[in-house]
Amino acid sequence: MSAEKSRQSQIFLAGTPNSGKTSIFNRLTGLRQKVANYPGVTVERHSGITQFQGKDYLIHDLPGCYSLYPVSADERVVLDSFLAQSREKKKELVVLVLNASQLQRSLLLLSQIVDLGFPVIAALNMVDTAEDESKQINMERLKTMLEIPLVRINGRTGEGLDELMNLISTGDISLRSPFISHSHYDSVTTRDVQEQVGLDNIYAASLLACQHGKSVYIGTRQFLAMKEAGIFHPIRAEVEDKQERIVALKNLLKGVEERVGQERRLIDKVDAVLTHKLWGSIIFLAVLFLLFQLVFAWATPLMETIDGAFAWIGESLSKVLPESALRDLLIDGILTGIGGIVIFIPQIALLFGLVAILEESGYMSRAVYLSDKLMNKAGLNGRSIVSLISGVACAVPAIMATRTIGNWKERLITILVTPFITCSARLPVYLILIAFIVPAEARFLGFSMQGIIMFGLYMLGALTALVSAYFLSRIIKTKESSFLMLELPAYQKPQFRNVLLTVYEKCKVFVFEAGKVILVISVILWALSSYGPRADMAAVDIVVQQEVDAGIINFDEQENELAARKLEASYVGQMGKFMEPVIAPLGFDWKMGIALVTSFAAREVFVSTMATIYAAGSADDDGRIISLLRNEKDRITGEPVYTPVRSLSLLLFYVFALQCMSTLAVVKRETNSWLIPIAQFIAMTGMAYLASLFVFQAFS
Amino acid sequence: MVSLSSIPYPFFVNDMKKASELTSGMSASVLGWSDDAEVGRFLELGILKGSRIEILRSAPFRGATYVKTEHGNYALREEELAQILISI
Repeated sequence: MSAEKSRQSQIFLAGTPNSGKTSIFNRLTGLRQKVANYPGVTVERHSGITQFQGKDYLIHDLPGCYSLYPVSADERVVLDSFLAQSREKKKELVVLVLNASQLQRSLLLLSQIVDLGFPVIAALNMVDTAEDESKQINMERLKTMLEIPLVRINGRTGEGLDELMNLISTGDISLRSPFISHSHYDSVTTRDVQEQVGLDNIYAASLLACQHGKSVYIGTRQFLAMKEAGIFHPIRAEVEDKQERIVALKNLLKGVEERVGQERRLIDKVDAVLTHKLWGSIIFLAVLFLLFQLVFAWATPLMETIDGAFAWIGESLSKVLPESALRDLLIDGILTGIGGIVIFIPQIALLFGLVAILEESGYMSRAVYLSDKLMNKAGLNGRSIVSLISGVACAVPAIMATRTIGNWKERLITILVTPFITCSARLPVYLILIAFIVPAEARFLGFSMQGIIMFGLYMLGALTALVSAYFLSRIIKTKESSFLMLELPAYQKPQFRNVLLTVYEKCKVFVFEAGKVILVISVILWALSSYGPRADMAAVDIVVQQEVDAGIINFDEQENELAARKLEASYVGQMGKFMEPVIAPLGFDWKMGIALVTSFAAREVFVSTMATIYAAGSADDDGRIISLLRNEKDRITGEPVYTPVRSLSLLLFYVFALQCMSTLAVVKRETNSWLIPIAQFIAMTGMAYLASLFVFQAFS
Repeated sequence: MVSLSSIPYPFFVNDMKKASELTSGMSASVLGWSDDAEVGRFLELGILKGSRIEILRSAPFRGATYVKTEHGNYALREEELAQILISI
């Protein structure tokens, strides 16, 4: 009984890209969605629960694909999930979403799934789009020809979903006879595959054989060991199968589709402008600029509010709770860590909201079309441009946005180079250090020199990203071929519900996946900077008290001075001093070393660390920190420490180094590997080291 | 299985051109493909033998080409277009 129940309650939602499948999934499941990764790959697995007449149904939203001959990791998941069911001889109901405006093309996938022996319900979506394109569909005839249950639905309005659920709830969906007879796929090789993998269907075996051993179900060696596998030609089998299906479906569709009147022309004219060589490019640049501005400008006040709120909570807690190590851990470790996670939410929400609008409307495909050449030259994909531009605000959402890049190599390179783009967290560091390179009043051709240097740093970051991408694309090898072959779908009005669900889901994934790593690192950093060898820490208290008593330290300064000396004596301070011989060739002292370590929490922490080290008390006052740094003199020579060359060296370190645990956490999650973020961290820090070394040694 | 000879590989057709030789505004009918590795992908997209394709425009810096087909619009790279054999 329970087996019967679980059998009925699972539904797989399949369809081609741009069939409106996600809208239907969102309508059915709403917030009762779960996102996980398919085991071993970084393809997102979306499932959710929908209720109908008091019964729960678990719906799996399969990635969109044109057929069961996969060309990307996303598409492979679809085939694998059907093969798994064929092996377990337990086939769940499939709801196949048909795009009415591209009927013949959508039916290819349908015919394949039916021939695998799955019970299928066809859901005809986007009839309104088809009508916009002057295509009239004869539902009755289509139903007769398909010989499977057919429902007309509208993912945008929800129309027809009740009828669909009603059909699902009645249970028995009878199996249709195969579109192409199974005897067509019968060969020595396919029979071997069927037997070895234990598939219940010869067509499933043929599809698997076409993977030629590149599958989790059957390895290359195992496959080639089979009788006559060597003469099985996967490409030929695939092309023959598709051609036969297309011919069969074309005959089936006779009289189903009818053209009425002329196509709508206005949208074509708009499209011609949006994809125009010159005007389209200008509009695209304007869209990118606007995207960056909105993420930057709208997120800032929200982030400040969050920052303030966490500071307030921390202060309130420290008043209420008795002084103890636990209190410090709670406030300075855990609360700060959570604050460091939550602070990213405005940027992630805004970026993904805006990107979702661009995706939904169909504009994103046009943007990819326009920028593909330029990005391809650098070894990237047209879609990489979105990540690179959003990286100016923050690398974290930018790296999450690489999911839309189908080719794994291009996606990996985009992930690797995005952190070079100057993010908003570098800005406060740049602002302080630039002040030591040129005075604020310096002018060049009427422009502020500080402004020019700032611009130069942004350019340097972008250039480094593109150049590294170019070299990475030569180094990284892949079996996947780079292709564009991108569909430019009909324009659609973005759906608010889909945009909101995307935003919600992205924020949730960030908070619960990357957030875990951020919290742990933040607690470790807190422990390292508040604890030190016991004797050293105790000595600080005594020495400061003595100096206060002797009148060396002003009474008002006591607290700041104590914090500064404690940081010096802490493990982080020890690390700074330990690092000094390594970073001395770059012109850095142990104080900068401390800042480099704490900057790992987030680059802007440089400022507050400097404030603590120099006993400035608060990090809010840039001017005070700058004047304290300016007064810093070398103990031996008496020369100022923050010379232009040393400041430039430090600046360059911040341009190249990957000092951001959140970025690393997100790279770990997106690549499903620790190796990649660690290698990225070492490579970027190494580059930073060499750049600073060169500048300091060459110019001082 | 279908015998191989039923798939015409039009290597012997004389007035055959590559779709990448078309300029904006031109249209042609598809004869076949020069490289069978990607044929499956073209079939999926509905770029079928005998179907019409029209070159609408191309992206800056000799970038991707905007192609209109009977089964929707696509952005194709030059090397992808070069795989489609056509007659005008």
